[in-house]
Amino acid sequence: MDWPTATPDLAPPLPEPDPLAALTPSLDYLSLPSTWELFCGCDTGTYMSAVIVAVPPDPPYALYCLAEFPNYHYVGTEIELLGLSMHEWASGVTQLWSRLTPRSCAAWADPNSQFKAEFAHLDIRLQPNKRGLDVRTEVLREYRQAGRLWLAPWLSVLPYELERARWPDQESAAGNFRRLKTQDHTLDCLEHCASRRPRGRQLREEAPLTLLDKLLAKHGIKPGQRRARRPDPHLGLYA
Amino acid sequence: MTNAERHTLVAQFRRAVYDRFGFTPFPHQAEWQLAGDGWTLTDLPAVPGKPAVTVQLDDRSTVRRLVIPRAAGPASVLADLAGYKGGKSYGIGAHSAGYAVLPDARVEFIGLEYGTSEPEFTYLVEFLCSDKGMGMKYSSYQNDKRGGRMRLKLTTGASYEVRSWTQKESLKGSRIDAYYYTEAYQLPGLECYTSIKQNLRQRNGKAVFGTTPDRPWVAILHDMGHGRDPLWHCTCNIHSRCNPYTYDAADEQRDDPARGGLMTRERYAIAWEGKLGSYVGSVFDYQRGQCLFTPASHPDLFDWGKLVRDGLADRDPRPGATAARA
Repeated sequence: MDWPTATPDLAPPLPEPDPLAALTPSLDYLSLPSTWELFCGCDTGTYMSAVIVAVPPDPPYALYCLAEFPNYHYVGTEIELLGLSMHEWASGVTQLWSRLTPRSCAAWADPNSQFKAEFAHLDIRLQPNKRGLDVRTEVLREYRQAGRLWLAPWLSVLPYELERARWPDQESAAGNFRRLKTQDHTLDCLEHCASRRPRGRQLREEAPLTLLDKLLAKHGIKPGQRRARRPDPHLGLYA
Repeated sequence: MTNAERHTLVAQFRRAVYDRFGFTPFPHQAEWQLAGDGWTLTDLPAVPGKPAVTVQLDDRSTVRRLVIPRAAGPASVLADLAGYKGGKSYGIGAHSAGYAVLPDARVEFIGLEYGTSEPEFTYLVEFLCSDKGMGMKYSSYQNDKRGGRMRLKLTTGASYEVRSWTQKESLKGSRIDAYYYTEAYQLPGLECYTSIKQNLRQRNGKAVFGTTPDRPWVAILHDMGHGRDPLWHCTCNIHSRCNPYTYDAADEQRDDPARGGLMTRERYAIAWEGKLGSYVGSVFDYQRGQCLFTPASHPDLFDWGKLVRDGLADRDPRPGATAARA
């Protein structure tokens, strides 16, 4: 047998940058039709995440996941915090949200979230989603099985969690058979959005501007922007 | 002795063991073993004057195949994900025999329990100490899986030991040439590697995972070995029929769900086809790369003027569109 001998174990060179990788468009190139509605889902706690989805106005009302905002990442299979402050994390969400829509940011979240007041300071209004985990999972599964779920190519954490979502080996002592609640913070956000069965708005006439809107428009302020809170100088983060 | 010299010596001695024992590896065994030596097995027939290896096909015939240098050099972490009875344990036992040539070699087999590594350890002893094999002398040989004493210390100085992950604290703090993870899917996750890989650093050692892909965490070996890190190598999707000595077509038919067999499709894919168990218990039946919206699939969602301007596209493909690169 002519088995080759080992080559010297020099440190292998780093792989060349893939020229095709640059061809993947980013969120900057997105151009959504104005009739599409945007929704946000949020999961609060030590590990936080948010997902922004867009929904067209026509059936079958597919979900298009545009962006994810986890404050963590996965190293191998381990979850690790990125070390973002809550303000840094929230400003990423609100900046993109205000870029996409003039509406203020309202996010579906667990009804028992303890971060409602804190997030209100950060211009994110948490809306309690009372759909249970079973329902949320089943609705999202329905979207997935019907081919009504689309993910942006720049997402990384959400596809990972979607792929790794698992059923338990057997039902719980209470007779529940819910998916395992591990490594699913961003997935939770998407489930919150999907469970509301969102729809885009139909084309309709623009609502007439109020007197306040007209006054603000004179100063170059759009209707949605006036809701933005002034920064809190006590935190020292807005200098 | 430099690490490069050590590795060359190990590879040459391994070849001598295979020659003496008359062992011709299956293609998947040869593939990951060659990756560890800095080579890539091809499907092409051997060319005179070029490196080649002889592999044994599923009809027991042998064929010589061309090997080419591995672009990223020798791989340090090797994974062999094959179906049941595909020859994973035998491949590990054979591969580990090469270290017997080093006077200070330390090789450890890690399984969930001591008994998990018994086949690999037995094959190793057969390769090194049997009359059919190298007939090497040992100064100490214990094979007591109940008592947790499974060691082989050769008179050359090389030592092999079976370790149990349940006693993982004792794995810390030594210089190791190679870790062989047996039935790795039973271990809790990649921490079985990341928590002790520092022991491999000094001797630029290898970590070898031979397992059926029964648990989702094994997918990380697959992810890393297929492009994420050039130092990792993954051999996967190996059907059980690759091993003609244990394959039983009638038994496969009894399990094949397409023929009304006993197994679920997922279980069959893992047990017989050696496929990655990423769909086992999956909630959304989703695999990364699916259901993406891109400029090609959803052109109306992207700003083509900007894409063309930034050189990411030549022109707007939509009918009637005018944006095109100047």
